[in-house]
Amino acid sequence: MSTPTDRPLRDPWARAEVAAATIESGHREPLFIGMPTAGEVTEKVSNVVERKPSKAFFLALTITSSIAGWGVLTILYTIVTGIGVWGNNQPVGWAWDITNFVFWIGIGHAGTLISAILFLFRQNWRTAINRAAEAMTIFAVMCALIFPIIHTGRPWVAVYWLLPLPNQMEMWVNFRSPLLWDVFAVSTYFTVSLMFWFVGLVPDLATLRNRATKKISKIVFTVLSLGWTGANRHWHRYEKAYLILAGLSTPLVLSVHTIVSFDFAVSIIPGWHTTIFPPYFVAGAIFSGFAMVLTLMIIARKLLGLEQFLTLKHIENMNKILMATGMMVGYAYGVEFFIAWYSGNPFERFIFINRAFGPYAWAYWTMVTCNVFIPQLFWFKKIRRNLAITWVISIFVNIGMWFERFVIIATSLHRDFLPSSWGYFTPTWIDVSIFAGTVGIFLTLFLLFAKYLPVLAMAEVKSILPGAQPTHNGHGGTH
Amino acid sequence: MNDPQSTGKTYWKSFEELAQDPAVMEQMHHEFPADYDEPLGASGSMTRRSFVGLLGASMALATAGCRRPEQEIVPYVKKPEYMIPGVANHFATAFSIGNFASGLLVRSREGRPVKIEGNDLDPVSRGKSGHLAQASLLALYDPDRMLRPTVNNSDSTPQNAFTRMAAAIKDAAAKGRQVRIVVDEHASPTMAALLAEAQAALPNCRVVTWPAISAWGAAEANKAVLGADGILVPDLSKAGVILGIEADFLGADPEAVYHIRNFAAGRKPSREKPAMSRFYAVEATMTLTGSNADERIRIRPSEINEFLLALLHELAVVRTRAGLDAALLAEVAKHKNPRFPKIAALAADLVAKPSVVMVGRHLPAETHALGVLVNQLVGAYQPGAPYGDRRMLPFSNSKKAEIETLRAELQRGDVGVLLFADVNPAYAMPAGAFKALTSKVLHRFSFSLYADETSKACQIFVPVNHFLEAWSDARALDESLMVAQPLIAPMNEHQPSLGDAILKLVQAVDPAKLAGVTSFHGYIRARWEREVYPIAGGASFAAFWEQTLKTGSVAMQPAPRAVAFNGAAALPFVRNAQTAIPAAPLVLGVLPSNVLYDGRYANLGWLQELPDPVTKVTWDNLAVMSRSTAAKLGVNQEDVIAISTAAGRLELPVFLQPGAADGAIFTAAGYGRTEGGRVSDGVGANAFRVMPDGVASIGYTACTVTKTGAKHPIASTQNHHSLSGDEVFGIDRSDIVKEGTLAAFLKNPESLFAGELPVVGAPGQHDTPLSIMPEHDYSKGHRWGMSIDASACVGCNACVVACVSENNIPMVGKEQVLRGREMHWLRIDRYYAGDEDAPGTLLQPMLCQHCENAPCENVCPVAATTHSPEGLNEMTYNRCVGTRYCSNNCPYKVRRFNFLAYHEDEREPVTMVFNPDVTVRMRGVMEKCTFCVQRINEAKFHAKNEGRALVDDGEVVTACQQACPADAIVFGNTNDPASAVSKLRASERGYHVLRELNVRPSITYLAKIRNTHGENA
Repeated sequence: MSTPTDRPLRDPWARAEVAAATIESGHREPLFIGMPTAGEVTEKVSNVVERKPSKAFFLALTITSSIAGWGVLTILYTIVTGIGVWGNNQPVGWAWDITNFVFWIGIGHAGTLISAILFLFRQNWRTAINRAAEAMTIFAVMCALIFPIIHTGRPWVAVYWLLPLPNQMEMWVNFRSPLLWDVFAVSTYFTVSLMFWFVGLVPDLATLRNRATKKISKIVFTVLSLGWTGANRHWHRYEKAYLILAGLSTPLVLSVHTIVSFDFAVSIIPGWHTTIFPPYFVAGAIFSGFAMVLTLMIIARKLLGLEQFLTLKHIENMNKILMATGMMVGYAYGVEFFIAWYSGNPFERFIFINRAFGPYAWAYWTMVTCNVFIPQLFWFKKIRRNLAITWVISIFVNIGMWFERFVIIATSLHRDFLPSSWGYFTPTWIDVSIFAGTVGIFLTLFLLFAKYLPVLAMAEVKSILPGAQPTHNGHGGTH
Repeated sequence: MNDPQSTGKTYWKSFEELAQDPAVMEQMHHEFPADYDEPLGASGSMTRRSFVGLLGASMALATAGCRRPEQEIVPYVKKPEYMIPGVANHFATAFSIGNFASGLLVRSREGRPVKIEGNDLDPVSRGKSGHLAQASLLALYDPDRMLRPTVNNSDSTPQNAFTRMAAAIKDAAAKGRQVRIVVDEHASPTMAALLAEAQAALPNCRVVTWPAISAWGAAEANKAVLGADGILVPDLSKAGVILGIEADFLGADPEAVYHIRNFAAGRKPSREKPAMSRFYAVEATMTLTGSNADERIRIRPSEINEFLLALLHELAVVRTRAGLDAALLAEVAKHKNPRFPKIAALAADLVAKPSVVMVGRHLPAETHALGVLVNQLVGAYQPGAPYGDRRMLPFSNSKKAEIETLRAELQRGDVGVLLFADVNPAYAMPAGAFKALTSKVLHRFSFSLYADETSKACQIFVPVNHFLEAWSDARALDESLMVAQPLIAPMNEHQPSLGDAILKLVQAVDPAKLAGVTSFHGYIRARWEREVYPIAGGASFAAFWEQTLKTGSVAMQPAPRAVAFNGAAALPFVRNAQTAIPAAPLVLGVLPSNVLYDGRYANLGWLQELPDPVTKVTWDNLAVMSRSTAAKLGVNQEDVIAISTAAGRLELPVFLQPGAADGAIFTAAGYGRTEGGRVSDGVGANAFRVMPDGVASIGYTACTVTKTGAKHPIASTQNHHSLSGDEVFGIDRSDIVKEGTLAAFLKNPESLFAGELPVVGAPGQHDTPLSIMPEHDYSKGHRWGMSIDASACVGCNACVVACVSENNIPMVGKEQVLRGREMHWLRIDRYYAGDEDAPGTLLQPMLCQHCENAPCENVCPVAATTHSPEGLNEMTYNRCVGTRYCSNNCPYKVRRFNFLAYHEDEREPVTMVFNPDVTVRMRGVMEKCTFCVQRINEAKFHAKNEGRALVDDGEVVTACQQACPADAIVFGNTNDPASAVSKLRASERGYHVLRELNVRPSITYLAKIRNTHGENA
């Protein structure tokens, strides 16, 4: 029985022809190792979902969910006791809470970028990573959403007072506050990303439904696949919907982090009040998002045996983006210093000198090393194509990007205008636990995703298989 | 009411009004009907009001059992006189620390005192009160004070305690042993009379005054050289030049509230009134007073007397000022000393203007004697000069001899009964010294506010009342007499006041003595009727007494007090001067604490968390030293060192203090309580322990230091950043504080603002407005504003405690202060400028600036902080969700966040101290200065009731303004060009902190002016 999604490749003659043409032309590296058939794609990806979970999976899940559980406990402790259990103080009103928020939101950026922008630009290599990247986006934004709620002194009222709900007091939210824009931006982003991810999943869920042998998975996949039959009408509407969602998501990639950066840029605190923040934050978000995709996918491709579909070409492409965005943030770091000097404002100058040479110099130089210096290694093709080194560098970038947010938030706040109110922030074990807890939540969700949902977008991969698309002059389908 | 202009029509409410019925028209002008004050049921019939009341009460009963803990509100069955629920009453009373008494006006709500303020009618304090007086309110409700009498450290009854004490006194008398009553210094003439009667009534009894801290040296020197048996207090408003010899008259001294007023009066120059006093401070440690000096001369402790001798040489020999006799002159002539280059200029200044020398109370009699000589030479005792009025602290005569006699008696074992009447020598002595001294005493009793160290060492302890629960009286500096009346029945039922306890004891020993006196209250009244009323006069004593209770004090004709200068008596002091202060390589100076004084109120969180005005450190005393001393000792900030003296050993953390002399360590007394209560115990170390056992417990002593290797975190509310130097990378911060010399200011006031950053967005500077929103028009009605004169502010902390008391500000504890979470709405920022050894200090009270263009307001997502039409930046606690964004965006960092439930574990009855007009904030909400909005509203209600559209100037007084002894803070309506604040805001010294941010603060600071020598001689 053929699956509804391998429709374009039903003709074996065409397949062989295209494959030959691809190999002959040879000026582009193929996106696959070997010549997988659509059936093989389905088999390989679905098998991950359908086979019995291994012991290693359960071990990993136990570890990540324990960390997540510990994080949840410490969050509850915070809510019961007060923000005082963290290291936040006067003047550092925000510290790890908002750092973590921006960090996770930033990670969420890669998913949408890969799904939407690369889709619109017909970057076909994205198909190997888009599903996982989108999932990562959803999970990262879920982790991020924890922080704006729990960082408030009274989360039990914040959860609904931050929403513009009509009420008999005619008490509205303050539409002038960037924090409120955040609420709109992040919730919109989360909704659209979730929709995008889910719509993309529908054909694959239908494949799984058709293959399902067990009752429960049959029911679950039947419900989730929304009656997908693979009919022409379905495909037609699916493509339309996907395109519209991609179009909707594209501005969101830029808007979310722009608005997150407004939290800082709109304030009057030196080090925050900076017009470069929107592009700088967006570049940083893509940078950190790609780093996290690499961190996860290098492991996932190995464990799930997807080397065939997620090749070194993909890794190299991502590394190029990593290097490019890394240099963008590096440029932003430099421009901030230049402007601080050029502005002639002593407070502005001070905050940047203090950043680099003050009590938080260690954090600043960690950030610069991880984000600017280390990615320079990607000038070498050998390193771009070396999985182990890439993975290590991706970890450094993750660390560096966390520090970037910490440096922006904590070093600007800890010494602002009046020296009398200067302070220093030191985290408590609760701060550390909650951050670790969100990492645990993130990894737990990702593990569950990688096991129970198709980690590769089967339908999309098939669409770029040799011969999947109409060809002209013997070219097609490989880029 | 009707405003025909607005509508063109006349609206009427009733036919009577339309007919202009005079009776109705009259009634309409009163908000409440005439019988509004009638207690319920007085008329016997059901009125509408009582019906509504009943309705409300039954509703309350019907809904009982709902979620919230219920508290019953019951109307008075018999309403106390003058009491309207929700309306505060004010009562005059008096507060004293040692010999210094000042009048208070205490605000009482529903029968409980909630705020202490100075009494405007008191000629000494003139409406002001210091930080100790303000904070003493908290002691009233201190749960650690809610004690029962103890006999041999187990709970007992007052009856049992007094019976046993009487038996013990009789037993001692039978054995021929002495009875001694040890009392603290006080200012109460009636207490003195009672003690005298007790001394006469009890067998073999004598009363000995033995305070922990006293101006021992001054009393001794004044008696010998000046023939004045007591401590003279100058009037600094009459001084053109002031020389302070380590005198802390603006800081730790109890009479600081009096001095600050007079000092500050001469420190507010303007181009119209350029007169300004010049203050020289000569000191080893950095005192608060010294940090206010125009010229501060840093010398080693051992050089203090040399300095004074050199000054005497300059005055008497070089400038040949008459006044010293030949022998003295010959002695002084030996002391030409070229080591102090500024002396010639100082001497020239001293003789050119009315001047005065003040000597620190911790310094020995020799130094004070030299001070008396200088004062004599510069004419400070002449009529019209600062000492011209010869005002003297009451009962401040030299007590050295009587204490030494007592010590001898104790050592001999002559004393059978020792009664400590609210005095705590066990704390103020070297370790073990008290036990050794009193071991031969058969019976030790203590009457005390707390079960303190001395009480714990006594067989019988009787807790006595707080001054707000007790009757007393006091004599002020200017001889006027004050009545101290209680505001509340004793929190501890049946607990006696100190006077009642002494009375009771006398009567328990011999009922025939003090016969007919039933209470100390009656005793005071009788004595006043006998001795004060005939002088003061009046229609009847009852009327006079009532009037005195209302005003708080009666002015008395000061007895003419002669000073008989006796130069010959000064000779031994002059001869001993050079060795009077130890000249060891390292000396330890123990000084009264700037916040705790001698530690009597150490159990009050308000004081423990009050930043020391010099070091800004809370919850600790420190080993304060200069950086070079620390380097020589090989120690650094927060290293714990062990300081050993002949008397004992003390472990303290090192604190590096700019301006401190080398070769000396300074620390504050008042800390290290062991039986002070749950707040004070274990905070800091007891510096009294290392002073030589004797009469004086403060001063200098030789010491050695060893490192312990331990570290002790110091909870400072402000890291000591200077305005220049490495820490701020040499960046000029002249937009924060502005200062200048008097000469430069008078020449060109704009020189104060040189280098100011341009203001972006200031109105009128741009062709197009920066904001698309129209600006709010504040020109109608009230527009609140404040001015703070940095030149007048001495940093005394009175405003900070007043703010805490008025606004229910929680104390958070050392651990939270270390995390940077202190909650004070008003703080006094301290900046140093210049050389670390000779820093110029700048003080800047910092509170919410109520910016017109407030950066906190637009960032709050829930609109919890908004602007009022009267220019107040308001905080709606109910709405706040606690994002802390407002605080992050506040350039002044004056917002305070309730990181934890700081009020939650308050032990009863401490919650009674809360001001009912101000919300007690829960955890998770932001708070900050409100400009005392509750006081503004109260004044507005009054104005409205009286038919005034606007409140009068001076009608709204914020708590900080009310407390400020320097009158540096002025608040009012800036729309009124005639208001005091409007005039000050127009001052040529006025500026806004961080003006270039265009946040448009409502507080105008007046730049600090220093009357330095040389430029304006």
